Amino acid sequence: MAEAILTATKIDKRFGGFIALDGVDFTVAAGERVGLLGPNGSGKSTLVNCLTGALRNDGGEVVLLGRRIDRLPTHQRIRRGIARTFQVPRPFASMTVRENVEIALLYAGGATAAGNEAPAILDQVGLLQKADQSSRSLTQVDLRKLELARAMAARPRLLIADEVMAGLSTAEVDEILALLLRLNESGVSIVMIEHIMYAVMKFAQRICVLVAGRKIADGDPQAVIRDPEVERAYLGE
Amino acid sequence: MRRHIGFLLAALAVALLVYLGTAWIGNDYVYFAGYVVLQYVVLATAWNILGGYTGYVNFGSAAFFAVGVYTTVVIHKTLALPVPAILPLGGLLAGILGLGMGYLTLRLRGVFFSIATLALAIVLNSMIVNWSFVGGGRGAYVIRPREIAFFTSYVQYLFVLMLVLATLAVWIARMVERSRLGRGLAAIRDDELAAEAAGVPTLKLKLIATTLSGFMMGVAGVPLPYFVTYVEPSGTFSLGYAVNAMAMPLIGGTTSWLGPLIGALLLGTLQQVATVTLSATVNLLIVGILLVLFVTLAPDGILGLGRAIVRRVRRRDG
Repeated sequence: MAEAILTATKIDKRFGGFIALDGVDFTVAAGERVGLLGPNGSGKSTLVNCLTGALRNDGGEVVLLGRRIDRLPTHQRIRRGIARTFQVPRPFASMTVRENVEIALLYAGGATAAGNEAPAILDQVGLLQKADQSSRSLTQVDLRKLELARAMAARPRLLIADEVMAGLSTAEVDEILALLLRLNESGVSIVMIEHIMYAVMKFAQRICVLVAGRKIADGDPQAVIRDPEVERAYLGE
Repeated sequence: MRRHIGFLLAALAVALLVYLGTAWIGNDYVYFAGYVVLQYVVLATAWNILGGYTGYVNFGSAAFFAVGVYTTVVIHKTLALPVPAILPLGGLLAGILGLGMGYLTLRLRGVFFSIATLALAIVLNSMIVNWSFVGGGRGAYVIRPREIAFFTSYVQYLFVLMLVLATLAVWIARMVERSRLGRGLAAIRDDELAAEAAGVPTLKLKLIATTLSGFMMGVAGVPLPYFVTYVEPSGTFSLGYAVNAMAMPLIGGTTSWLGPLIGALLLGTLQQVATVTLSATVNLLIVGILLVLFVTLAPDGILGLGRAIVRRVRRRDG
């Protein structure tokens, strides 16, 4: 296995008396494609938030590229190589599509003048034609692409795609999937959180399953989905 | 930087024309009225850096303005420095207040942040009321020199000073808007969480915005004691400053440097006209009615309205 670029060890997160994450270990190797699964409320987004800095973990540590990052604010983690998309797209509504990408290029991508690189990124995700449109006017699938473009502009080593395919048609899912595979081929490790199983099975080299804040399975996709504990979590006794 | 310098030179040229126009009229009332309007240009522009560019609504503008005012009162009683020398000091103190307020309150969002800024003005008001060195609740007189070199009157001198300050404030706001900082502030205004996830250091940028906004408001307050010659807390912390500083950008348009300028010139002039034709007390009523109309009918202000009309015309023609 390639060297780990992200190692999260014994991550705990509580909201009052509710235990959202209970000693979760999570690793991603360089260039790896990982599927993160779990029923609603299992702690997937909480784990992503703890990894990217939107939430502070109560226990455990997160190491990215050999450096501990779990006490850093989000923007510093992004600059160190971990980017994310949001489950519900969050475009900068007053800006054009191009300007949305330029913000990430300027602040996270180390660009001094964002203007030159934004078109290439927008071309990669198929939004170049809409570069000068207001981000408010985008369709749902284009908003997902914009989320990806903004994350890519940060030049990440690891991208966490949080339900980027939710609510999309099969053709649109395939389009996003192809985009993520191309991105992975360029060397970016990707963690995909998704409920669309055929997309996860097609994409992931490894699957990790969370249930009620605990990791119950982690390994080869085919083996994981046949795991009795995983079946129980999804289908009941 | 060259285009910013170009804009500054153009703005200074416009300011010079304004000065020549008022000098040609040669009536001291024009300087009185003009000073007040220009003071609001600075205040509205300063408010807009935090409220418009960053999306953090500050109800406590009067507090920062008052820091400038009372810095002058203190300096007048101690060192008696000329007004231009007090400007950076008043600005610096108000900027430090902005930084402190930002550090304590910027973790709050929306209405909670706004309430905290309102509380700041009340706290500062109480402190001034109980500080007898600056006159306390009874107020303080600041006697201005009878004459000043190169100017026909001291009020004309203060008018020119405020004209320069307004020009610089607009120039700074335009520069911020078009800089990397301005883009980061706009991202914060649109979605703070997404801004952080795009690498924007949100807390640092918000602190810069509160400091800069506070600095400019403080500077706006520095010449006031020499303009009115008597300052007391209820006038200095008056609701009028906070409401105008907020209403002018909202009516002009908050996303551009031009919005507060248009709003301040329009509302400020309207209020001055109302003062001499109707009554001084209807000023806030005018602001209130216009604010309600704009917030409900044209939430993007005059600029937004103009842009919408241009878009519609282009669509019809194209």
